[in-house]
Amino acid sequence: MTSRWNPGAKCWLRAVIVILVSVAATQLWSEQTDATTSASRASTQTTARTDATTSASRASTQTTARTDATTSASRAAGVHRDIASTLYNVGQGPALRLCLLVAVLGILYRIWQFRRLTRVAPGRLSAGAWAGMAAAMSGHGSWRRGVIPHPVMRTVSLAFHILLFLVPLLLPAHNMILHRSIHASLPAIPAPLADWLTIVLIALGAFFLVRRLVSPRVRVLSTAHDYLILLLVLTPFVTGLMAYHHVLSSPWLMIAHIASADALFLLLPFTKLGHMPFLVFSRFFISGEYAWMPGRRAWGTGGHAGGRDK
Amino acid sequence: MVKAARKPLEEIFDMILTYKKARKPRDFLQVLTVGCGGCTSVCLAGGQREVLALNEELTAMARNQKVPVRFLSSTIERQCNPQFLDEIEDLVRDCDCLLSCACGAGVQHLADRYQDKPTFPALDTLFLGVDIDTGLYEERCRTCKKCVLGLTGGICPLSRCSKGVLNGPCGGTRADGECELGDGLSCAWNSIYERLKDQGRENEILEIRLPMDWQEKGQGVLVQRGFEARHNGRSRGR
Amino acid sequence: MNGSTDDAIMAHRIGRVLEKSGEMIKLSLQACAHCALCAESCFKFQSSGGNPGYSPSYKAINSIGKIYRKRGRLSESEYNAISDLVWNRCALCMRCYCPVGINIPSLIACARNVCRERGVFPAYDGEENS
Repeated sequence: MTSRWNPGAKCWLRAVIVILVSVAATQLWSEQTDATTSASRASTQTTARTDATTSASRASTQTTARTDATTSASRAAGVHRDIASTLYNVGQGPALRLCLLVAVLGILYRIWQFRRLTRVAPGRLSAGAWAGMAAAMSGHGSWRRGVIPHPVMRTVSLAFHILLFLVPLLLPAHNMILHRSIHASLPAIPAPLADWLTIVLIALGAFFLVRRLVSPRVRVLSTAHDYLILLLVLTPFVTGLMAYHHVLSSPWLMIAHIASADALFLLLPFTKLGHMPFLVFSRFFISGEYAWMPGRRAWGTGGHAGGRDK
Repeated sequence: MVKAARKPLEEIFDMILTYKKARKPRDFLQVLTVGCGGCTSVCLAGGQREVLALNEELTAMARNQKVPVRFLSSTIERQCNPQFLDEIEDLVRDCDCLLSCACGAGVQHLADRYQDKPTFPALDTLFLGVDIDTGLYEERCRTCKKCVLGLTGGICPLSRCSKGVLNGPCGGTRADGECELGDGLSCAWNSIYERLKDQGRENEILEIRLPMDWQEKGQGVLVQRGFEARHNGRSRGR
Repeated sequence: MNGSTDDAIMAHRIGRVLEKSGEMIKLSLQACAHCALCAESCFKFQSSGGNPGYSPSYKAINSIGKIYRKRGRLSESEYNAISDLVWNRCALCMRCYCPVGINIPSLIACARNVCRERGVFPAYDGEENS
């Protein structure tokens, strides 16, 4: 059971393998159905343009961007173009679904693991749930200070995490795609606002990066895993912003956007990104000094056998 | 910290042997000696080393008296916190009874946690005290719940005065500042006076303090400042 | 010190400790975001003047983290370094606060357990205490 790999490295390896396998599989698929691929690409464009005329102008801008990307892709060699558009379609389609599925299954696994590693602790009092939460919020210093004691980190982290989820969910472009596939979507924010929020998010991410490089207590803990994950988290936002503003006329920008987002979902339960579900478990279900809601559980499966003498 | 001293070996041995019920299919009694990494480790009464030494002595005693007993051991961080009691569950299941090397509080917590096994105390808990030197400890606090150390220059009249008087010396102070009980004890109130004089506060010794309320109020409970809302309405433990 | 000089038995006992707590350790180390926000809640960190080697996450990762990764097979000097981390640099006062909710004291306690199995634990009657 001894492993040379740290948990982060193993996850990277798994992610790379999955992505390579998906790419290889879809490439094989596209070689077999070459003609169908071209036809479906044309129909995608038509559908996109039709949608644009019925949506707001900002939606059509997004469509134009994608059409532009596809157009510039067609200027490249034929095989290159096929790979690019295949990846583009697969990335939003089967690969995205696969990665989301893995994320959901992974979180369910974590929940199951959490239940297995903790147990209802005898003798731990749980005040009535909401009363307990109110109590935790009012009297105890740590909650008054928020999740994070330091004021700057608290603001930055909170803003970062909120934007992390809010911006992709409320982006007009994403909602348009969602609407096209399941005929339902969330309300969308105006595109300029989305732009600014993305820039803010990237700036906050840069703050994290600088902090990790500059602060000695953080630097001593940091591994390549930390830096790579941070960059990976920022990649969809940077590439999305760039693609939206036509910074580079290459289809690979959008592919990077999709691939990095897919990778994030894939890696969510298995890397340090899993600190998010972990936080929910431990703050709401474990009883302890810093619990938000006095939970009824405690860590422990029932002891270890140690120290047995002769 | 809490200071404790190990009971005499014979007392411990006899205590354990009152419980003769060995679990089948064994025909010997299996005892788990549980050490404590907290206070009793620091005062060299019940830490890992002391536990191993105790087990050796008890094993020798058992062999001499031809009693079939086997002693296992495990030292945990502290026995007064439930978090650390869980980890010996496996061992406890295997044993017939527990011998705790914690202070009285730890023994009780351990006994509460593993209620189906008898828990025997290996130590006598003595006092709250300070380290004077390695192996030398003195009482300093009687947990009177009404600390007057600010008024007495940091010398506790309850724990250091032989009579525990609260308002000045009893009149039995010897000329050299010793307590009339002898035994090398110094008069606490003399020390208090000297201390206050050094700080230019000797007049404060004239202030009268009300007597301590030693009425028995039952088991003490502390809800720490800031946690009132969390433990709303809970005045007793279990 | 632990009464047995048999390395195989010692390794077996350490292995049992890690087996029981291993998954919790692994999960905690994985969930650790390496944010070092626990440092401010540690009085030893504060009184050391902000020495990064005193932050709870550093102590946990370099004690039980190291032990877990090497399955307890560390050299004597490595164990001494670890015991310095978990006994000299940590009072197990249990005040450390992790935003993510990792139970850092239990990780330190687990490291102390392994050290005790290995026969490494503080001597309160050592010369430095008199």
